[in-house]
Amino acid sequence: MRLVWYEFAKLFCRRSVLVLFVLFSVINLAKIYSEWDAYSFLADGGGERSWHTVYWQLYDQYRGPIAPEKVQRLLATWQPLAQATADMTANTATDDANSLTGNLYSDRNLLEKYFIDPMRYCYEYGDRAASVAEKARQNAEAAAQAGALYQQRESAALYQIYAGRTVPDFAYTEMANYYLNYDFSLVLVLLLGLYGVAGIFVEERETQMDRLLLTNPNGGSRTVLAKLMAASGFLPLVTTWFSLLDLAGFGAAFGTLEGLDLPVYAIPSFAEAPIDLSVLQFAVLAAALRSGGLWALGMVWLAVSLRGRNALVPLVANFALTAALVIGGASAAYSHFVWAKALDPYSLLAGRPLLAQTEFLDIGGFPVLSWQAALAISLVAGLAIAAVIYLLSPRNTYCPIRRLR
Amino acid sequence: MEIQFDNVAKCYKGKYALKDFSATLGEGVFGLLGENGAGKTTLISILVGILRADGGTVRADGRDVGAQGRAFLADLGYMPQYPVFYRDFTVGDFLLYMGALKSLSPALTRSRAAELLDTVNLSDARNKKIGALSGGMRQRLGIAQAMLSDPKVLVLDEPTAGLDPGERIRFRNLISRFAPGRTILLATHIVPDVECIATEILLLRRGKLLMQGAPSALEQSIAGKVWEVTADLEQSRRLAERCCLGNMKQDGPLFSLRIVSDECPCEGARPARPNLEDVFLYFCQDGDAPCA
Amino acid sequence: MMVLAYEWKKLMIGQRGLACLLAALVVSGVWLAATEQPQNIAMQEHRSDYAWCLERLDGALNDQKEAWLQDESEAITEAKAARAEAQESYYSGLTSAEDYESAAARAGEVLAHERGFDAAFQQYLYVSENPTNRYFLETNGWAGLLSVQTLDFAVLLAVLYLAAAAFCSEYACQMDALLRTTPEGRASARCKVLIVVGSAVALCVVLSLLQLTFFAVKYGLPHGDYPLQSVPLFGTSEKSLSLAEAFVAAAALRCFGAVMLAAVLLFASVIVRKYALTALIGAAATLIPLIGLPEQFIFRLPLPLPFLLATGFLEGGRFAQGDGGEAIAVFAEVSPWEFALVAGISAALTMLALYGTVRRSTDCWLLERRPRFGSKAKPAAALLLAVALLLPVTGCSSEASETVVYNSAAQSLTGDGFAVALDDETRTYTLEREGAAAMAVETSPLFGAFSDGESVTGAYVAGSCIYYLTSRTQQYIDRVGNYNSTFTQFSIVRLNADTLERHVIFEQIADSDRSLLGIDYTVGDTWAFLPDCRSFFLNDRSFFFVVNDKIVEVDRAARSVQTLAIPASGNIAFDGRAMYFVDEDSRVRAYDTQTREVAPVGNIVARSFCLTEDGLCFVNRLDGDAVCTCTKDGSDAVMVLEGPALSVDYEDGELSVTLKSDGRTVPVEL
Repeated sequence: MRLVWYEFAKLFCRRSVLVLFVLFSVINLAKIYSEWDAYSFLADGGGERSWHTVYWQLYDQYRGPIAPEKVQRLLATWQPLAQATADMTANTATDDANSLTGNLYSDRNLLEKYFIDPMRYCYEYGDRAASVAEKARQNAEAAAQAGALYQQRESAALYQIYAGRTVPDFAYTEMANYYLNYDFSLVLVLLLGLYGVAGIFVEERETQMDRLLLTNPNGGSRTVLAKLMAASGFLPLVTTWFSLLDLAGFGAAFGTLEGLDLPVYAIPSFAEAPIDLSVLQFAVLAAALRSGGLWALGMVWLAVSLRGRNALVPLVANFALTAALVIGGASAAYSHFVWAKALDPYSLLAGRPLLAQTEFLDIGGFPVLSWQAALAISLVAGLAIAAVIYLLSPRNTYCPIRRLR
Repeated sequence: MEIQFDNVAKCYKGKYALKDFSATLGEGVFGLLGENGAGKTTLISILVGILRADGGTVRADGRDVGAQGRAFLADLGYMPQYPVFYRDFTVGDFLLYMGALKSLSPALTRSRAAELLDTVNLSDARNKKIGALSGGMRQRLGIAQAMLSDPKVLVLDEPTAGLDPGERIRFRNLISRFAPGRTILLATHIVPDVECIATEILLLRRGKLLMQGAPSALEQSIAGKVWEVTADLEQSRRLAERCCLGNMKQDGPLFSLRIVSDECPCEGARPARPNLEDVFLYFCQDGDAPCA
Repeated sequence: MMVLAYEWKKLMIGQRGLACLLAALVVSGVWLAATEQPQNIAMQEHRSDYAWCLERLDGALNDQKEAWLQDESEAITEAKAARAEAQESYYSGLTSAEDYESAAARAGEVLAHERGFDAAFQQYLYVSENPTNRYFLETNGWAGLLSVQTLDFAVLLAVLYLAAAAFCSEYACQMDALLRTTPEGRASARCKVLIVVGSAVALCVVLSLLQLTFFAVKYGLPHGDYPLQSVPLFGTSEKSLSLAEAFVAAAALRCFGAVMLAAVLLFASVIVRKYALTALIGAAATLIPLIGLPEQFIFRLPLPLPFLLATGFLEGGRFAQGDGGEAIAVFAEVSPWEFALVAGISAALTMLALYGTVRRSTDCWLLERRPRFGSKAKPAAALLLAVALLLPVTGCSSEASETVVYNSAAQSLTGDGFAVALDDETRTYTLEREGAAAMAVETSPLFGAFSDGESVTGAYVAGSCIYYLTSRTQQYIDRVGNYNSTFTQFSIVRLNADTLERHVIFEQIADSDRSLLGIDYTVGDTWAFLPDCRSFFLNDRSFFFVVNDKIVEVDRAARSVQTLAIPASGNIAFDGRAMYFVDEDSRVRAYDTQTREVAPVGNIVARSFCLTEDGLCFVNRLDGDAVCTCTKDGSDAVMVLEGPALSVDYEDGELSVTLKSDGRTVPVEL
């Protein structure tokens, strides 16, 4: 452990890594703020008639369980507005005293965008999920009739996932939506991870420490093992930090953490999420998957840099490899070729391609959710690469385990 | 060429690496002695123009070096500490390259390179890649490249570091051979290297010039302060605790000690003739005051 | 020169810079050749017809050309009507064969260039919006050449490699100090800068020439003097540039971008002295703004990125429709003064970076003594620099090649022990298997459950497999916000009717807007036919999509697209090898999908036809619209029902005829 700690301190507590951590964090927070500022309709200041003020006033009335009286009340407010503005002949004044935001069209848009549409989605979600579960049950029966065992199992799994799903409460989902769909920090994570990891072996060679290390009892393969473990600590640390920073940044920019306890499928783009978790739990799972993906990718980076003479060639080669994986993974992100997604660590890094859709892989006749398969594949591949790195590591000739030839 | 330093200073983060350094270097070999961190490399870096001094001036033959620019560099040969050079270059190619950098014609470079490689005993290695050379060979190549333009000023930073005794002796002889008609500044903390060949020693401590003079003059300056004592183990320990201890040699159960001290360290101590190591020890020991 | 030669050898041979440059060229060239698609596929597919139209239209729009377009348009409409009328009259026995043939020949002459005319007419609609600066020309070459807007990663990596290696390699072997102390030390640094900058420029120039050659050979690059706005991408641009000028400008901007990137990296390398950190700075300085900043903001920053992307400086404003129907500027054109400001600051920064690089590699004795900046001057300079930076602010193949009976007009398809029927009202395909309840072909409970944009748009049956085409429109949320782009994805799924196993065998996004990690890119209009596809069929080599007025063949392996010269207005029949159709002269013809040859099926002239297990059944225009059958080669024609009949249909193994007299549909026993 001591050796791991020293390797960690030596490799990752460098000034340049720490400076990059701070710099990238600042850039990430600036980007999050710009997302809110550019895209949220509630970023219109704190004026008395601003959407922001009006929304939060109305929100207190409609938040919580979706009860018929709330729906009636909301419809009673919205319908007259919708009728009045349907033929586009309503008063276009921006200081209309009879309106909430100063303009009737603006009132209608606010209500539709932030209350009517989200509440309708939540209200209808239960029936849609029940329909999915029922179709899955019928499919399972049909598959059983046809003797199609895998299809039967897949339909049963689908039934298990969707049966009983409801979104009983209405809550503010904009922040959660933006947070779960945000992936800029992924680029920063990749750059920082690549910089931290790609030079691990090269640096020892550049400083001619590799020869010295070989002559120590804990040198050679043990040092390599310590480096692998240090990298295995650093990479998840990077993803965890940026995942936390994303959440904190969005919370701060939107001024609320409201909606984090909602089920993740309350966010329309995650309607088909294969997991029954709250937004916050989902974020934790996504961060864990991202860590797993980055770790596997990190092992690939290490393997590429294993025989490099200086840091540049492995870094550029790893950069090109990562770009290829990202482009390939992003291209397959919404594809039906689930194996393509499961085999590319980018899917784990981005999370959404696996966690926003209920997709199964046929593994030995059993349906395995794509994110579980991707995680397992990445971990196995990462471990295999780590083992190869360990076995190929230089050893002192007095070392009892000889290099495999 | 005469090199003159006037109140040269260099400060790093509020701490002086070199302070009010003034000295004049004429023709001959000048040994720059000092403990680690004394400012030797800083002084050399300023002289060769890698570092800009925060204060003071450096003159060559009475003219400000900054004003001379290229002309000064044309007269300068420099060998950095721990030279690695280019692993993929052959020795011959490397010297041709350095000749181009020193504005020498290819023909002149070839003839000088052949001559110097012969002098430094590297003729057989002309087509070898630098990556395949031993440490000593690389050092010799270093001095060959420094001598390529037949410079008037030769600056050598720790040239014998890492060399075996035989290589060191060969190296010293080489420098002696190049010395006539040149100003050679040789920075080292290996005292015997300069003891034999230096015409003058510059002793640096904590960025300041402690003394400058011929080795014999420096040795003379601590005459009567060097003692030899024969003692058993216990007595040796006690002496080491309170005195500035030089060489210690075991001779059966007894030890023969060399002590640098203003006063007779113990009964039975015999005065000895000081050497340059004793001078170094006397002036450059840890603590605020010299071995006094 | 000697120093330059040695520095070149060190960087290009010793550090393998030359190999890196060549690799970048090969990767970029291969990528271009592999991924390039024509921006206007109609123009490309009907090139000769379009060229015929262009002979009359080439250049600026004028009254004469507009009149010709109107006349030709009317002539085509009239020719189609005349041909149909002549056919009707001839097969009804009202006119003689000579009259019919001459009428058909006249119509054929007019219709010979119909498809090319369609492409030209579309262009006319575009040109007529602003005839002063939009000219008629074959735009695919120029459009391809000028609209390459994605960052060339190979160039980025090559510049990154060269710039990081130039000085860092000296630091790595501790030669930097020695080089500085030589009289030619500054020349050495200048040579390094010159080699890296020169290589970056050379790479960009060679790549531009490569692209120029590629597009010139593939599409041709005519009329370089026509206005830039002639290419739709630049339609709203206010720049007064010709196409050739725009190409030169874009190439020059890319060169400058590469130079600026090299300068920034060289400067970074002499500051940080480490390969890895230098390379990271270069990658971060390019990728973070590319992914993190809105497009229009990018082109207003003095960074290497906007110059590497280049064409954004030439583009006009783009607008999207907001939630309330209002136009929202997605991209605001970079005005000349904005460009001048960005370019000026960038050039100054580049010069400063290059100067700083050489200065930091020069011996102090060679530097002129200047008054040192005061302690307050440094932050002020940093602030000035910061202000300057921010100022302009993708198994049933054996079954597929079996003999099948497919009629595109059929509402139901029959396979081994099952049938697939289309419900006209709900537009759903239902699978009916023996001894099992009917089920939708797309059984996924999630299909369409949470989105209205999911539907099955076509089905095909071969052996025990059902193939169906799904369309899925989805919001793509890689770039968060209200202006999410959407994509429509088309998939062909193979469903085994026995085992109910499903495999996706084809997948393609048809839209042009999509975003990858926030970087928008376009896919051209190669796949724009997919949303109009009304039926499809396949064999082991190709997919055949029946679109409104054409059939598009897509190679299953190479994914190459080819429009077949087959009118798709009537029934298209397929037997696993040959495709049967009725041509403009009502003659039944067969297209062999293996040999790609079209041959007449006997001498059949049909009003309507269908394929059966035994051969063809058709409404014979030469026999008073009687219903006849024949073999697939057109022989052994037998009348099965006296006419007149309107059409014949073959569904579920049963032949039915719609009578001309009363419109009734009656079954026919074979």
